Amino acid sequence: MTEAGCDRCGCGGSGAGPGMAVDPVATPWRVALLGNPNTGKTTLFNRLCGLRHKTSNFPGTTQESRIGVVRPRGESSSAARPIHLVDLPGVYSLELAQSESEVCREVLAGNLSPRGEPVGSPDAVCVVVDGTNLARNLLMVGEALSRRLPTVVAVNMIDAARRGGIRIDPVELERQLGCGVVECSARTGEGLEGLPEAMRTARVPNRTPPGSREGIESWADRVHELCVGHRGLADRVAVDRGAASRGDPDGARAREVTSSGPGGWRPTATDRIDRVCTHPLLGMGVFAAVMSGLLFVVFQIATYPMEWIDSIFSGNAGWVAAWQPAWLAELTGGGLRGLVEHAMPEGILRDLLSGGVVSGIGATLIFVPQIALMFFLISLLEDTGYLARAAFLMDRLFRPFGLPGHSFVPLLSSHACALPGIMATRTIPDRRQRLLTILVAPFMTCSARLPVYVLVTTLLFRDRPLLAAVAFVGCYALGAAAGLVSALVIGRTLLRGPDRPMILELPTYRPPSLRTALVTTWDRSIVFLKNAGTNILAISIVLWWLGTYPKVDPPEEVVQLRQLAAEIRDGRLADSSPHDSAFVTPGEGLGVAPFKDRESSARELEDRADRIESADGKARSFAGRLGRAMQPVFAPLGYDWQLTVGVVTSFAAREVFVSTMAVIVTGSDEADGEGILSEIGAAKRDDGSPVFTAATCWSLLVYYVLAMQCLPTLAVTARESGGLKWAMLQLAWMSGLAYLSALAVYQGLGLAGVT
Amino acid sequence: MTLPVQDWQFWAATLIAVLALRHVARMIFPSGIPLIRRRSRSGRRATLTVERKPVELP
Repeated sequence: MTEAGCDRCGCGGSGAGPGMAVDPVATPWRVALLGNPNTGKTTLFNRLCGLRHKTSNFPGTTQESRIGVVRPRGESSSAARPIHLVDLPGVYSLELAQSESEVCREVLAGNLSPRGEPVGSPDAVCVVVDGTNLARNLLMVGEALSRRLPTVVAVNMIDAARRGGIRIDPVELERQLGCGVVECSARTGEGLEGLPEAMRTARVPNRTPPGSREGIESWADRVHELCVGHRGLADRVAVDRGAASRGDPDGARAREVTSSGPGGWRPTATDRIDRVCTHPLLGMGVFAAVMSGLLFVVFQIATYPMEWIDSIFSGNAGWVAAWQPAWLAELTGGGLRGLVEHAMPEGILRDLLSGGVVSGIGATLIFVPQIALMFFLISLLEDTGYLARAAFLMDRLFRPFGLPGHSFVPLLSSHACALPGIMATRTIPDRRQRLLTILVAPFMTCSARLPVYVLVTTLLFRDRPLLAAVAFVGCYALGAAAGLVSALVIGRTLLRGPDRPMILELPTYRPPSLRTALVTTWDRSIVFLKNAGTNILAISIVLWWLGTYPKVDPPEEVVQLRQLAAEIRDGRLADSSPHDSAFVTPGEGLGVAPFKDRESSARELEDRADRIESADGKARSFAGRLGRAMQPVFAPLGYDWQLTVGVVTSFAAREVFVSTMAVIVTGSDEADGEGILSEIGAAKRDDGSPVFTAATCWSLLVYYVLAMQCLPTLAVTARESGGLKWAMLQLAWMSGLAYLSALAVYQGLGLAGVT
Repeated sequence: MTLPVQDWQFWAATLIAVLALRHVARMIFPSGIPLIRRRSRSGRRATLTVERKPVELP
């Protein structure tokens, strides 16, 4: 760009478009990153931008967009404009009738920009092509060149191409395309130092490919033959069996490309591995082993940071207290909640901060380790190329239920949390199949269900851990089965339509990029915290208010206990009974025990009085009244008013159930200890019968496996599906199914004589 | 059974809870709660002016 005008397209302007005056330093240089799937586009983006990027979506669509900033390097380029790199969805063609192709078309035409970015054509287009697969990638290059925008072609994976014996002549390729060509490897960083400059100096191509599809294909073949010594690596494209028979152009093309290897096709290491990994039986075995390992690592390793976060917020984990100094341990003995209670004067705001805000933040952060670890491992698997094989295998399993293989990653992610799982459905190209996946994703057993499973299976199978483990696995299986059957039913009723064949490229196996995995993990975790964190915090505050008000007078028992404690502390009761002191056995009321220590006995009584007062206050709060009002609805499922309060308050978030039960039954919300679990298990109904019978436990377990008890998930469903009606359908379907199933279980067990 | 209306902290906590509730409502109903959604004013007529003078459209 010079003062004389634009030297790129000859328009006489600044280079930013005809007639546009641009501040050369302040205005960023906007470059659209375009390419086929699996060309290393995201790796390239991460390598160039690192963490300097933000994730949003294109307005009016659910297509995710990432905008990164490439800062100019070195003194010579200090005056250069920073590059804003817009990562477009990976597409096989700009002309397909798919949402991601439409987004690419609109962005290149200047009609659409990521949220927060000015609308207008990008200053340049960078087409990322796979150097090992140039013939097919040139089709996209041809379509991009015909847009007549300043273009540069990044031939990625050049190192893998060289290893495969492919020699690309960059000068000839540049001459044939009429635009800049940069050979690079996003994985190793080779050649990337020149790419930003090439983006800035990109020019409108001086050659125009033919306009028709057939013309572009023959043009691509010709360019490929001129620039590449031979057609080295054959493409490996997995195409749905029915694709070609349904007349799908991509399927037909893919088959054509698959068989286009020259002079016989020799199996590579990838092909040999694929003979096992994509085998109908052996492949499923490998898949089961990989997924079991992944889930084991996620749930085993994430336990440590989760305990650590828990200890920060509630001061429960002992191993953290072991290394911190005594004064800090004393100060933070109760975690952040204890610290708030220690630092602030007694009052409502202190209670709100400790009971609502700190608890809400803790409830959000505690899931981050699992989610981050899950995404880290998924990203590593994706980078190796295995995830594409897993999706291919799952396609066989999912297809009868109307779900594509693409649904596999969202459903897998949903085992950590449904929120990132639903957001991951953006990768599913077909809207109908994406909606189906969104609707059934919350059936997968997420982390928030685990505390409920632990509580109920412990109550059901005390001292029988093997049976408890079987019940636990059964919950996972029931959730997955319910999801698949629901997809089948909804897909054949409300969301009827033709299945789109899955076209999936199986990339070459390669070592994963740690950098890409870390950036992806960071990105996903931030998105989770922004979206879910604020929602969970808001819900926690609302629940705190509903569970705190109205204030009620303490019950008679509490008054008596406090009076007794005061008498013991003053020595009046001890004087009259020198060898004994009053104490309270939980659930048995007042009693007499050997005299221990006057102060500690009084404190025990006061603690007991506080717990009873808290439980009574919770039961008579707005939330408690709501539970009592709704009790008749849940009575056929075997739930008394206490369980109903637990179910109703955990409508916003499942994990609230256990702490709510702990508060109602014991008056303390610390539900981790064995003693508290025993107390919950020993809870009595108003008529003196136990709350948790075997039939009630099974009913509760089935209810929590199937019920839609997560407000943030509903909100994300409404946003991602583009309408509240889908969220309402999800709520009605899941809750209805859960209610009817729990009803059948409770009544069935009752008829069978199980109580 | 009362609400501590004399305590200013109660009102502060209630205000925070209402704001949180509003956030939750907006999360569930991104385009506004159906029954209390404001009516669009897109139907109001206005006179097009250029430099404060009405312009007659062809």
